[in-house]
Order: sequence, then structure tokens, then C-alpha cells
Amino acid sequence: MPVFTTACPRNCYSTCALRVTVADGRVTAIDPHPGNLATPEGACLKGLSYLERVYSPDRILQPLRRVQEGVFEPIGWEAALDLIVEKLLQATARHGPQSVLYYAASGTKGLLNGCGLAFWRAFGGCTTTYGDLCWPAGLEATRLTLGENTHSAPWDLANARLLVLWGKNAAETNIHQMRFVEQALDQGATLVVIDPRRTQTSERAHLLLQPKPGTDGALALGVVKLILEAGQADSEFIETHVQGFEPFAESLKSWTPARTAEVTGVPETQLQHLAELMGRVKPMTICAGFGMQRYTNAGQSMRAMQALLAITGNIGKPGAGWVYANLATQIFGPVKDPLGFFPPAQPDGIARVSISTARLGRDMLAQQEPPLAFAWIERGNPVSQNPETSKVLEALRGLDFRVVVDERMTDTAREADLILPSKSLFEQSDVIGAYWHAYLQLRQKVIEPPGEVKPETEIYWALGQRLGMTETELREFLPEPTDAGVEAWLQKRLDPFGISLDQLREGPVLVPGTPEVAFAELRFATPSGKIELWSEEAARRWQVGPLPEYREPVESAASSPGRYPLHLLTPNTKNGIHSQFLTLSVIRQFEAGPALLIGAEDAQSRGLRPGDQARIFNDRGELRLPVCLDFGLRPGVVVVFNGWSAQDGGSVNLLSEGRETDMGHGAAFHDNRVEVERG
Amino acid sequence: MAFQFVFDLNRCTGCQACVVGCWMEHRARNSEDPGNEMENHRGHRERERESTEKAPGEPACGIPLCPPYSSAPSVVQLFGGVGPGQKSGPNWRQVHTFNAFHHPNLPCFHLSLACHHCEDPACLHNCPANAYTKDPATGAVAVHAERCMGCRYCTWACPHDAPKFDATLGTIEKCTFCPERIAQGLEPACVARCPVGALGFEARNEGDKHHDIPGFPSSGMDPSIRFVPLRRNAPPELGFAPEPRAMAGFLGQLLQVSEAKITLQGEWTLVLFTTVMTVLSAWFIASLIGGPALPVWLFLGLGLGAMLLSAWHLGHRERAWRAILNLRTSWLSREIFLTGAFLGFSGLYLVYLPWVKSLAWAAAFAGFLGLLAIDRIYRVALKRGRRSLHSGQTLLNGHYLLGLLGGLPLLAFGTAALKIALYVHRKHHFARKGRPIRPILSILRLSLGFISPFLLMSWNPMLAVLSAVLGDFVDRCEFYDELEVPSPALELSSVMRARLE
Repeated sequence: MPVFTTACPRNCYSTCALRVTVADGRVTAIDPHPGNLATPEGACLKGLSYLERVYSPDRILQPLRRVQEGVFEPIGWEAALDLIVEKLLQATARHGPQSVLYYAASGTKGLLNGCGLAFWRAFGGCTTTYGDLCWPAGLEATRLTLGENTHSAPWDLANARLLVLWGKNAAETNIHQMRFVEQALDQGATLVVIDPRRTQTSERAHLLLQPKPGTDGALALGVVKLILEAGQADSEFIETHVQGFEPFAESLKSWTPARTAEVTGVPETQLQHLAELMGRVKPMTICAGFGMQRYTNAGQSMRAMQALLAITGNIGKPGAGWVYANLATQIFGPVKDPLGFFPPAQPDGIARVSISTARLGRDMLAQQEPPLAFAWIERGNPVSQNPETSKVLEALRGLDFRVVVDERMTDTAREADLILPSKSLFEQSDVIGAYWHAYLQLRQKVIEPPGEVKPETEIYWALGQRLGMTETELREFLPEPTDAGVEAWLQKRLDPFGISLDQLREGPVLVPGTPEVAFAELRFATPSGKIELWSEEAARRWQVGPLPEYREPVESAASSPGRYPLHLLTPNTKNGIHSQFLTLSVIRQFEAGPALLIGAEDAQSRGLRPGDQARIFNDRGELRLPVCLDFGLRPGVVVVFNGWSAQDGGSVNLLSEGRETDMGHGAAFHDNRVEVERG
Repeated sequence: MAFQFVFDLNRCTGCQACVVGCWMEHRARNSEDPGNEMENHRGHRERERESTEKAPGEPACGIPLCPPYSSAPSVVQLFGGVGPGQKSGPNWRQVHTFNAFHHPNLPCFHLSLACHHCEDPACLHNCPANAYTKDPATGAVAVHAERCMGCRYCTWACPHDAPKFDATLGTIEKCTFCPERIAQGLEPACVARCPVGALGFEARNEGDKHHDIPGFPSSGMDPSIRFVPLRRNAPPELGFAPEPRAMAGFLGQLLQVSEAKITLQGEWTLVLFTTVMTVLSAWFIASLIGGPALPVWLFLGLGLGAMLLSAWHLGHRERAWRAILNLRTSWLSREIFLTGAFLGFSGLYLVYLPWVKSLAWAAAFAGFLGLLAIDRIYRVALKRGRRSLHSGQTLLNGHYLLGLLGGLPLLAFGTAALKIALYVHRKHHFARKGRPIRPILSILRLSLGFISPFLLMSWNPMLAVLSAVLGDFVDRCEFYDELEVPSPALELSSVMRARLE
């Protein structure tokens, strides 16, 4: 039976290489590919569950037209394309092409994703979004401090003597990182986890700090101060490589252990313990997660956390550093993230980049001249995954026509007038990068698309033809709708780097010139060439202080006391990537649906018992979910995992507000206060 | 070469990829249509029916290997821990979690367990139908579906919860050790697909096996698994812990293990069967020594009914004859054989050969030995230890009834005294352990079983016996209700309970 090399294209750190066995045109097994040294032991349960996902009876295999709310009927491709053209022409006739919203999210990785916006530009224009739901605050903080987003190879973590997983539950969201954590622990390293939750990752830790949500910046500043006071700073390193140390040190006066403990809720003894470890144990790596930068103060918090590495000299050495995002594989475009997330300084008059992803619903509603009339949504499920579901729904429902391209009936697809079936990872080749390791991988086509499924590029090709574009015009931005056409398109993009598709068919290829240890030469692409604790650009671009500083999040116990005493966190679990995978029966046997996790004291004071139904609410909305007890949650914090659909009980974003993070145009999902009661 | 699993408690994150990896292997390799589970299932069933028996020791390839998933979320236990609990279903491998709800005094860890292909496997020894074989080459213990009659006794006998009954197939399935992969020099599917290297595979008996892991039942069966224990058997240093009083209110509910393998509801046919066999055995002997005569129609009716009842719960009734294939090591086989012998001999004696007394005494002997065998069967599931005596055991009940029916007051009083003592002792023990005592049942049991028979004896002996049978029946029901098959899930919960007390 033929075995193919491919890779998982989900929005996930690991981006595993896979070996896929195909028999009689069907995928029958998914096995590890040892060629990716970051993921040599193979995919997680989600990667294995593709066997169900690709062949699931729930998959949409033909275009569907909505006949009434919640009811869809099959419609042939010809009729579907006719309908789209009709509605597009209607919209443009009335308001021009910018009344078309093109919304794409992170549902799948690949170079071909770029064809979407290229098509809409060729169409004459559109309106689209800026920012990103996931990680911009951290990216921007890192860019401001270190000059670029890169980090050492994933396996370098095994060289660390002190590992700090800060707001990162790698055991569930980057399981392959745990192999390197374990390797370090086997060699006697110390693991510290910082997270309001006691997670699977923290189980093997020596020390677990559970700050109040959104106070990570204060924690970092307090610990910096303790390290400086203990005389454990690496003054030589600071002298040579750090910009703005003195004003920074000066700014920390008020961060006494007592105040830090009060603001963060972390006991002073634990602060001292962490400072002692960070001051003494080298090399130290801090792995920062994405969840902890989804607050309105998160960019500044991340800068404060990076300061811990700068003052202890933990940059540019094996086993030391800042592991947040490695954008080494972003070689195909002119700019790397987060710059690509920012609205252009000079609008080009074709694509109007005017809607913040974080405030999708509100900004869509506010859009004028022209207002929005038509939406094309692909690789995303904004109804459940963008903040403030009610506003997103209101905005979407206010449009004349909605096209959603998806594999299955998501909350967003349910809102569509027309659903177009999308390919699975096995049905069209593409080249994918990663953000934790530096491998370029071929997500290889191994089976034919089932039913009437067409890859997006072929949909655009057919639509373009229907709109009167010639093949020559289409070839400008689209691969020809054949396997050979796609391969030629991809090879052309790989050529400048001397990489061939045949090479990628064998296994993953590291981006040429990727170092094992990031910043080993201690040169930083910042204005000063140094690690910038003082950043003029931060102040100029984001109206924050030039130094890392702590401000309370917009919603927190301190800044918004009163009616909503609980902080709601909405993390991911190992069982899903946002709203993907959670519908599969393979997955549901392990997690049947959403639940509210609540601590013993918070449950007791509300008279809640395991299995009771709880009402979780704030001014924005409410959820009714069964109660699960978690004695490891800090009091005042409740958790509902994100990604569940309305059918399952509702998206957590019914409760969140569309707000941006302090920098990077991210979404501050975790500024979210609620109350819980029986019912 | 014989092999063993290795399981590293430090590395396992409880991700369940091993469970999915196992499913992928055994579904995809054995069906025409890997995408359609229902189709797949039917295909298996038909193939399985058509398949002919294989010689012992033959590799398990070709045997249906389809652990299907139930997509019904209702069977998944959602409540009772952090996130959802794990359902016990037809998966061959299961991940069990210790301290899923994060009690601050204890670490949280996982055990990924399947069949451990024991050197001395209880499933194989206890299977009455000889459906199990052990491959001396790899050490793999295999269950051959076409020989399995679906009695489920192996699921009681195995403390590791390895054999899984598939209600659709009507047979037992379990982890095969992936012999077809071993033959190709590959690791079993679960091991190969563990993304963190927590599961390993190596030559058997490498190093100290560290079997004293909480949640891993000690069985004396020499399971083929080596554990790498926790580096630090402690929770992380925590900054806070909930008030003990706040936690205490929830612990009872959180430590409950919901899925009992033996329930009174599920085994009512066996309660009736064992009760009828006790009555018949005792009455038959009593009739030989001057007690009331045993009406032939009643005897034949009850005997036949009991045999039918005992086969009622089988997944494959047409294979019931296989039940006597393992007299050498299975008490269940012996029970069926002895019961059959008793009914056969005594029937023959009662109907055709009433003058052959030796036949009658052979039947009587087989009958009481059969009761002994019944009691031995349930030893695998006695909560208070496998050696303990229970007041509802059939051999005791048989002696008691024999005393009453045969006019043997010493025997009647003696067994009654022993039974009462055992009963009271047990309830006392329950009271101390905080388990329910059920006082109304106790009153019923004691008054029907002992008080009224002694009061009624002189007035209407048969009514007295009926009352005693009813009393014993109550006890017998309680006995079934109290049965508990040891399993990793129960073990984990009881270790937690003990550590928190």
C-alpha cells in the first residue's frame, strides 16, 4: 500500500509531519514521520482522528443552498456559481466591490491561502479585516523587544536547566514540546508553570504560580525587582545588549513583594521562590503561551516577561531564551507577522482593510461608504470563534448574501445562504510553514476530493471564469485547476530557496539558514540593535509607555468590581483546535460537550454540585452548562473551553466583548468577567 | 521473543492518542470501508459467523478486530472531574486518570492500560469455553471470537479490565498485542502512535517492573508491562488550596466510580439459577434421607428452566456447549459440568432408574460440588477479599436447606448460626466503612430466613422451607449487589479515598 509524506495544516504549534497509508484510494492509517525532529513520535489524537474527519457522514460534499433557517438543500455547482455571480453583481452595482467582505481565518495553513485575497483584488476590490484573533500582542511585544519573532529549535529546550511555561499548557496545545520538557527534567532541570489553572502541564512542575488572570505583567515586574535586589542580574550582558535598563530598573520602585503579591494574588513566598530560581539557575527558557496575551494589557505584560530574560542574560545561549513564535518559515511574503496584521498606512483603494478581527461584529455594523452587503467566509467560524457572538450574528444577518466555504455545518455555515464544500488536508497539495519549528512541509494530496468537493483555488477559478476573467488573467494569481497546475505554482514559489517539491515529498525541510540557537550572535533587529526594554516605537505606535509597565486589564477584579465577580477563561483543550474536531465521535468519547469548570469554594458558595446546570452570564450574554469541579482553579476563576457550537450549548464568545489587545490588534478574549448561578 | 509494554507515568499526558491509534489500526486493517463504521460492523459480524475455528497458537490476524466507537455522548460520563471523565466502552485501551479534579494534596497522573498479556492470565484460566490462547513466541494472549460464547466471565476475572464485551458482536474482544505488526518488526499501534513516547515496547522482563503503581491491581498474574514511576510523586508546590471543608462536600461524588460490571439488574437470571440449583440439590439429597419427596415434574421443570436461564445472558447461546471445555482450570466450566451431571444423574434416577441408589448418591455429590463451584466462580468478584465467606453463598444455603428439609436440626441450627454470624458481621463492617446497611432488607432477610422457618417448622415444614429460601434469596440478591470486579478505575478511586482519609 502506498505511503505518503504529508503534514497537518492546523493552526497549532506542532504542525506534525505525517506518513499516510492509502489503500484503494482511501486513507487507512496515519503514522509518525521521523523526519520532523520536533514531532518524531507522531500526531496527537486530533491528527489521528482525520481518519474519521475526512470520511465522516457529517462532511459537506456538495454546495448547499439555504431554503429556510437551518434548512439547506443541495444545489449543483453551476447553479451555485450563478447565484454567487448574481449576488456579487447586485452588491457591486449598488455599492461597489468594497461592499463585499472577504473574511478568512486560520482554519488551515498553506501558501495557496493567499489566492483568496488575490482573487478579490482581481475582482475589483473588497473589504477585509486586519489583526488576528490569536497571538498579535505577544508577537508585537517580542518584535519591539527582540526585533523579530524567532526562537531556538524546539529540541533546544532539553538543554534548559530552568523551564518556565508561562500561560502555556503545552501538554494539551503543544504536546510534542512535552517530550523536550521531559528530557530536560530527566537531566535534573526545574520546571515552573505560571497559570491560573492547575493544568496537565503543571503536574510535572516543581512550582505552580497561579496569578489572577491578566496580572502576568505585574508578576514579571515584581520578580525582576527581586532579582535585581538580590544582585543576581547579569550586569555585563545588560551593559552590552540591553537598551533602557536604567530607567526600567528605576520604574520598578513600587513593585515591592507585598504589592506584587497583592496585585497578582501570588503569595510572597512563591514570588521569592521564583526569583531565587530565576536568579540562580541558568540557562532559563521562558515559553509563553497565547492565552496569557489575550488581555487588554497583554503586550506590555509580555514585554515585562521578556525583561526577565534580558536582565539574567538568558538570550542567545543554548537552553536559554524566549519561546513564543518562530516565524522562520514565513519566507514567501514581503513582511512577517505581526506587521502583516496591521492595516496599511496607505490604503490602496482596492482592498479596504478596515475591520478589526477582534471587533468583527461591531466594525462590520459600523462600516459605511459603502456599507457591507455580501460576505465570503473561508477557513473560519467567526460566529463561534470571534468575540461577541451576538454582534457578529447581527452583522452577518444584516447582509444581503453570505457564502461560507467549510467542511462541515459550523455555527457560521448555518448562517450562510450558500455553503460551498471545502477540501480536507488530504485533497490538495500545498506548502505549509509552522510557528514552533522551522520546517517547510508539503501537505500532499493523497486522495481525490470526495463528492463534489472543490479546493478553494478551483472554486475561484470557476468563479473567475464566470465573472469574465480570462485564463491568462486567472493564471496571474491562481494555479491552474489541476494537480500539475498546483504543483507548478508551488514549485515556482519554492525555487528562490532551492527547495524542490520532490524533496518535500520525502520529508520536512528546514528553512535554509535556520539557527539551532536564536540570537546566538546577539544582534537584534531593533532600532538600537539591542534588546529594547525602552522602546520608542512601542510608545509611538501603541500609545503605551516606552517601558514595560503594568496596567489593570479593562475587566478585572480590581478595575471592574461589582456585578461580575468571576473571571472567565476560555482556553483550548487537547481535543480540539478552536471549533475543529469537536464534532467527531472519536473525540466526543473523551469530551462529550462543554462544561463549566469551577473551584470548590466558588461552587460551594453558589450551591453548585457536580453535574448541576449552571447559568454563566454577564451583560453580553449567557450560557447554560453542566458543572465540573476543579480544585486546582484559583478562586474567582472559572473556565469554559472554547470551540463548542450553538447546538452543543453555545460558544464562549456569547460572553466575550470585541476588544483589541493593547498592541498588535489581537483579541482580548480573556478580559471577561461573569457571574455563575444555578439554573 | 516475548514482549512487554513499558509505560512512563511522567511522560503520559493523558492525551488518548494511544486509544485512537489502536482504533485506527484495528478498524482500518479489517474492513472494506473504513469510513462507515456501521457497515464495517456488519461486515465483521458476518465474517465472524462464517469464520471457521482456528488452531490454538495461530496468530490472531484475520480475527475480527473492530473496537467500534459509540457516538452517543450520553454514555460518556461527563461529570465528576476536571473535564469529562473517560467512558469505559469497547475501546481495547483505556486511559485512567488519578486525581482528575486536582486535589491539592495529590499529584494527577494517567495510566494507559490495555491487556498486559500476562504470563499467568486469569482470562485464559477462567474462560470456560477455551476461547483464549497464549502465544508462547510473543507472549500475546488472544481471544478467538469464534470460540467465545459471550459469557463475559473473563471480564470479571481480569482485574485489569482488559477483555471487553461487544454487545453487537456478542463476543469478547481485547487488545491483541498487534501480532501482525510484531511479525513485521513494528511496535503495537498504540505504542507507535504515542506522540510523547510514554508507551514503549521491549523484550519481556527487562528490569524491575515497578508494579506497585496506584491503580494497577496486584494480581499475581505476572503482567507483561513495566512501569516507569513518577519522578516526583507529589503535586507541584501550590500557592493556594481550597478550604478542606469546601472540598469535603464534593469528594464523595467525585470519587464515585459509576460503571459497575456486575449489577443485580444485569445478573437476575443468575440469581434465579443459583437459587434454584441450591433448592434442587438440597431437596434431592433430603429426599434420599427421608425428607419430603421431590415431585418429578417440579424437579424437571425447575432444572430445565434453570439451565435455560443460565444460558440466557450468553452472547452466543448456540455456543453454550462450549462451556464445559475448560474443566482443567475454569470453575465456571466445572460448575456447568457438575450442574449438568447433577441434573442428568438425578433425572435419570428419578425417572428411569429409581432403584440405582449409587446413581442418586453420585447425583447428590455432583449437586453439592456444583454449589461449591458456584461459590468459587464468584470469588473473583468478592469485594472484601477473595477468600471471605458470605452468608448468601450457595453451599451454605444448600446445607441450611438440607438441614431443614432432611430433618437434620443440628445441621440446620449450625448453618443458621454461621449464616447469621456472617450476616451480622458483614453489616457491621459495612456500617464502619460507611456503606449502606439497608436495615429493611436486613429485617426481611433475618425474619424470612431464620425466624419464621423455626416458628413454622412444626406447623408446616414446607412453608418453613419456602420462607428460608426466600430469606436466602434476599441475601443472594444482596450478594450480587455487593459483588465488585476489581478494575483500575476502582483501584484508583480507592487509593485516592485512602490517601485523602
